[in-house]
Amino acid sequence: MADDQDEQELLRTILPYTSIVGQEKLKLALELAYIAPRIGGVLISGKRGTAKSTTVRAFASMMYKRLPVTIPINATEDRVVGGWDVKQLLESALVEQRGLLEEAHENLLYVDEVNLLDDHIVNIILDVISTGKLIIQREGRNAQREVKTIFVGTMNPEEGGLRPQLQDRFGLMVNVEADAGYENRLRILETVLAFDRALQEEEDKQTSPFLVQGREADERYQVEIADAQQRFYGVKLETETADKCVKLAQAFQIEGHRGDYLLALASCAYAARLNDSRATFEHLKSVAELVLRHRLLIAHQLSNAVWGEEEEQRVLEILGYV
Amino acid sequence: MSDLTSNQALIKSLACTALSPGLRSILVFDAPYSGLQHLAAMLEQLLGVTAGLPVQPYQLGPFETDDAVWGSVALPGKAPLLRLFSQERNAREFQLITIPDLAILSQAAARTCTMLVGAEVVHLERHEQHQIWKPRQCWLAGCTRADVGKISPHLLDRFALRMHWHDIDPTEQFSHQKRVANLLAHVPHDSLATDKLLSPTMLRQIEVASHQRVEMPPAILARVMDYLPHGQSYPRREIALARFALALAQFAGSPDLHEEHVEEAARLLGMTAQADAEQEDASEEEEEPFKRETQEEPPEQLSAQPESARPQTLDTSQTQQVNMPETISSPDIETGTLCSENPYPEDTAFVEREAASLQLSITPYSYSRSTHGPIIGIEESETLSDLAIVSTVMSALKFQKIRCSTQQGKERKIAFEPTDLRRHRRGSALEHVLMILLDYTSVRDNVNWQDALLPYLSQAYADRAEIVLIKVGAEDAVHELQAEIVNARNIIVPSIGEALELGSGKASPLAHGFNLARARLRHLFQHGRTLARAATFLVISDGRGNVPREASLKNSIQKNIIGQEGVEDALAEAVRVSIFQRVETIVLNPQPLDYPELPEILAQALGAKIQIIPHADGHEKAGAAM
Repeated sequence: MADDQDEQELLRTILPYTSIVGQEKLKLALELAYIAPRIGGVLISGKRGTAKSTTVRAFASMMYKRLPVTIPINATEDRVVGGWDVKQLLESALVEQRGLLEEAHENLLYVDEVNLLDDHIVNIILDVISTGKLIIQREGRNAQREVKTIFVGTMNPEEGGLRPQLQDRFGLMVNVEADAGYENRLRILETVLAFDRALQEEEDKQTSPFLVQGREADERYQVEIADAQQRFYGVKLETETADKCVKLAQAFQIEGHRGDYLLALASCAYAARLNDSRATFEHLKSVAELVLRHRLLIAHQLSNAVWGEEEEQRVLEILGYV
Repeated sequence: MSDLTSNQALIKSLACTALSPGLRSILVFDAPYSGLQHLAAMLEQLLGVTAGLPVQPYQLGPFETDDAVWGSVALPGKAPLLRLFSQERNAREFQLITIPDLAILSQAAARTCTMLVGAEVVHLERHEQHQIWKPRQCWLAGCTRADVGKISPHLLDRFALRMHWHDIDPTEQFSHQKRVANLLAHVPHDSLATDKLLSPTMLRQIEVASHQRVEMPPAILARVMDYLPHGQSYPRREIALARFALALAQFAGSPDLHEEHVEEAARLLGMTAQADAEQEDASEEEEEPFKRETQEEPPEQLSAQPESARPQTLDTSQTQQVNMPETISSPDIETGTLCSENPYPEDTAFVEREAASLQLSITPYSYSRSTHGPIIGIEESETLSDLAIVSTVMSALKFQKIRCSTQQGKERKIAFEPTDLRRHRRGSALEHVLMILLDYTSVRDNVNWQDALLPYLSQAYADRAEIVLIKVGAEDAVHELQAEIVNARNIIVPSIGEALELGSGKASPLAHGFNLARARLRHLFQHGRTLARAATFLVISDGRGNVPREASLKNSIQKNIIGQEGVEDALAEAVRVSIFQRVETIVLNPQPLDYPELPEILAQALGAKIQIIPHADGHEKAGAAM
């Protein structure tokens, strides 16, 4: 494992979460998944250069004070599931080496370019995420571990889609687009260059005001999200809201009952985020796209789920806003 | 000393790469390998000043596998293999990685680039290795502009700086003296040695610049957006342009970013302010006739040296200073540019790559694992088929001390368990080939041959089949007595579509066409490691070849009267094609008015099925066989 000193140095190269410009839906999805872990994870789909990976690392750095447990696209099974320490093995000593899934327990599990990951590894992750149990039966090992984690994957849909079974495993999906607005583009540019400079200053052993302010803002924000997580189980789901959850899922022809459940969970999580004691139609309206988008029938056939004005209008109609 | 070192725009740009970590990924279009080597040598010297660690050059190409790049388990008692990317390497060296041709990179290497180029953090999780580090790298890649459609834009987008290498026109005629001078300029000499490329003054300037801090007024930063299309956002391009401008200011020793730095960065990258571009488009539409006249002038192919300094005749006393033919398009500083053409050709390039080209390949024929494709990795196995011997042995070796602890005697054998088995993971195999022999002289306007061909093309697309098109009697034939062959990776390659739209020539070298077909089939089924599984051979012809085989091979007709020789030769060659076992041959009969029985005779010679091509009025000849 990378030692703590190395990891701390790497953390210092992560842009503070509160300094990220725009991408409000993406941030909301990550925060909801943290507040209510039973949501089951976030799939972030978007074209290149849209700060997907940057935001995930920044969020993990802020909330967990460490880098997310990352499965790269060329990871082998022994590292994902766990194996033996090879150096010890060669000396006839059996010393277990924890796999990444085990390390992700009570942490954030991150797969960058999840649509490029080996199908075999994907199957393993699917199984663990859905059951919450990691069963290790390989190379003479026989063990079982509990794994509770928030699973986050990023992907560029231009490079191919995700298998429907895996796509469904993610509780929420966000489609990220590059901000074409002039003001935000300029702010993004300023932020990136300021961060470049801040890193150089830290390397020169100087204090960077940009980073100091950013990290302090992150500390405050982290407390807000953690408090929201504490409030989550106290949020009441109104009957009318539950009714609308079911109606939405039916209207969009979502298979099974998982859609209803996730809409309810996400609404309550959002209410907790806003320090509201009840989950209402307003909360449901804000989270509907995140839950439903990748569950539409057509989403299973396309590499990029479509959610436009028509779908938004339908949500408003079902919720009685129009 | 190489002329590249007097190319100020180039030097400045490479210096910016050394100064700004965000610019350490360069893509050069149309550069020869020697040119890339030269650029790499210059970069190595420049990075040596700012990297803080020794700079080590490496190369990635079409053969790298994951194990070669990321390493695997070390043999017992041996030092671990020096893998290309690791925490240990990263701690002791700065890597300069050159990719000679991005279009033919192995899939493993392409996936690696996706992970590494521009990455903030690298994770290595393979074969018991668990490492995380911040990469210290610079990437220099080359590719032909025409091949951009073969590369994933997901990968291309990671390259911050773009350059276009202007080479000499291959059709240009040089004097003997100039050819000698070019040859001398290309002979390897020690001027490529890193320590002799750039002057100490330059290196000192970079060292000083590396400590320069530059203020960034928002109003000046806003100028960057003027160079990207309105209403669209290309975050990485905007950031690259801004970083480039900042680095130019830093290099110039300026404490502030000015508008001219942004303009210079844009000019060097070949980017035009959008307002200017719109005005140019409007004025071009008005002045098009004038522009056509001036198109004969060479474009901005400005040499490294000013015109006046370029000698017209060879002066033997100054041989080394003669203008090298290979120059980055860059003249004097004021009007220099690295990329006189669009720096982002991927935006408009025709797609010639597979969908999801970075995903690990799937096997379309699921009932049997292919053992034909190139090896791209290793995976666990439950059978002995396609065993990866070394990986299997390595897997078993880890446990030998424990498994063999009870073995007595001096001779110890390696104890294997089923879980040790490893097989090759293979890339897409050449499963299917669609070969079309199109006799252009036999398809008349009222024959629906393209409609008849369509189902086969659709199937070829679905099968990801390789395409071989044999053109017989096409209007664009280089030698009208010879057939020509066009090979394409798949059906969507533009050259196939263009070829299918051609009109008819005068001659019908049908025998030569079958001769080419036979040679190609022999290569596909009998040569090399990547053999085809099956082929479909479509013949669209009326069988009336009028060029004897010998005439095609010699590209001249000796006799005045040919008679039936062309037809007989074609039938004889067709019989030779019929021997291939895994080829399904179909003759599409255009129903010729003259000698209507010939297509059937041809089909018999080929051992083929025959399919009637209806006329445009839907007419089919009565009694036609299928």
